[in-house]
Amino acid sequence: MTGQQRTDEPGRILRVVRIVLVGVGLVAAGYGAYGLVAESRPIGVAAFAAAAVLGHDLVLAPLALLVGAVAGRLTPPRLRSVVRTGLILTGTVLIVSLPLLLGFGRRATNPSALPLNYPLGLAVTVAAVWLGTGLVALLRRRHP
Amino acid sequence: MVRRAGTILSRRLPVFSSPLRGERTTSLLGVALAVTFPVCFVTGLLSHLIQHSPYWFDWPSRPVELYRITQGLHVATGTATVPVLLAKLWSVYPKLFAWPPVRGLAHLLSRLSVLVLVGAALTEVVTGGLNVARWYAPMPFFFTVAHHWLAWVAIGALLVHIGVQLPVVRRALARPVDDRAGAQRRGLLAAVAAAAGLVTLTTVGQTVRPLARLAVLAPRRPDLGPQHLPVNKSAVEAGVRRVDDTYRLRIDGPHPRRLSLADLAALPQHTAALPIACVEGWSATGHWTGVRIRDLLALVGAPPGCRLRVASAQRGGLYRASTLPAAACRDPLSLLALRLNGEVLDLDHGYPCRLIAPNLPGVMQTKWVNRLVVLP
Repeated sequence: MTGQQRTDEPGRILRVVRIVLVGVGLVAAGYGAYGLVAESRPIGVAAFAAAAVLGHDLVLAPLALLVGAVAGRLTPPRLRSVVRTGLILTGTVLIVSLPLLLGFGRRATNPSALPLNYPLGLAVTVAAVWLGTGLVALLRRRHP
Repeated sequence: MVRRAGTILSRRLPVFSSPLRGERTTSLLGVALAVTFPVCFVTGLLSHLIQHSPYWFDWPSRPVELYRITQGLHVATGTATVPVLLAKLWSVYPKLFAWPPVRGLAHLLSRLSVLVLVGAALTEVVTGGLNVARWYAPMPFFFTVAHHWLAWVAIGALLVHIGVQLPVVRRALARPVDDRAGAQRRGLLAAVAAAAGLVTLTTVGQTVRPLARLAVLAPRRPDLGPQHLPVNKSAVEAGVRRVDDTYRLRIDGPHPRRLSLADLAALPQHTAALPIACVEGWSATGHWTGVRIRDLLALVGAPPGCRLRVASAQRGGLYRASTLPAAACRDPLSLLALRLNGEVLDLDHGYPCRLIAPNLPGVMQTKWVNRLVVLP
């Protein structure tokens, strides 16, 4: 009886934790949904979210898989993880800096906003990434 | 119900070929997101409460740098989340094409909850990125309001997701690690961490001054702008013109006053080193000189514990006036500044005078001030 209780105790706690998480989560999400409907433009937000999901699932993710597959074919097996790291770093920097590269937020009326040469910044960053990747690949080749 | 949904979700579905995918990879990335999302949520909510204070919320004026840190953390964490979120989605991508797509009501509900989570999470990160890049055209809604309410949806959906997936995470993290797959997976996670580190290193200098020179991909540089300080809204954008000698600062209180620029300059002047800490995650310290807010309050006989409405010559706009919390009204560092870094305030920084107070968002540091109203 006591043994039975002891083995059941963690399971019971886990269940309670899960029920609380789901319950609190539903309340918070419901509050947010209510706020969106009451104060924002829910259709605009939903359309944006849908575009974000479709953009990821149908464009970004397949593109990343394709680049990964092609790079995998072109790279010898022992360098694959190094090249993959270089690609992940490059892709991340590209995505994060994209709004700055496009520069639609730049205004002649406020030169202190977006004041830098972002294509140059990106080029320097990506060059540093591949320099590092090349160095690591070289070291791996010498000491596999 | 919850348990059933969890069991169904945790059943192994056909997986694409990469050996890097798996419950452990997904769980570890999930744990990282379970840290970054709450950090963004709490710091964002704090910023919201400071700007739209309900009656129970009294924001202190010290530590001076607190808001600079919380908001810098908000934007930096959101930026660093990008590679983690994308890696997490990659790790479960094959599940998107699971067949049959729906196996009963519980499965449908759990898939819908994941859809809400992914939609809200991506939207929060993307809109945040668009906002700091000041690119509003793609957003068919007002950014701050939508970003705030959708954050509740995202955090709620995240809690539901954790509740559903907890047994999977426990199982995945408790299981002994097979060496070869483990080394490969660690390599992948290290790459994701390095990507998060790299975007942090190339942007965080917009608020962490020693790293300013590395911030080649930051929307701001703390030393670039008129009088070596960035500007969020310029005078042209605000529709403000340079005032002449007829300028009077109107102070409404028990004993109302009207002060000319000469009157203001004749009052005791004080200098404070205070940051402009923008909601967009950049910050920069200036040396501001002007009249203490509490001296002005004493001049009009304001009662202790009052707050102060600070209004601008700016035409329209959500931020043409702000309310200074009671703690900031008392704080000797709070100034109606006339000068910045030893020079007369640039028009873009709020000439003839602007509010500068400790521990407040930049949008509340009202510029081109022409009226103060004591709120008892």
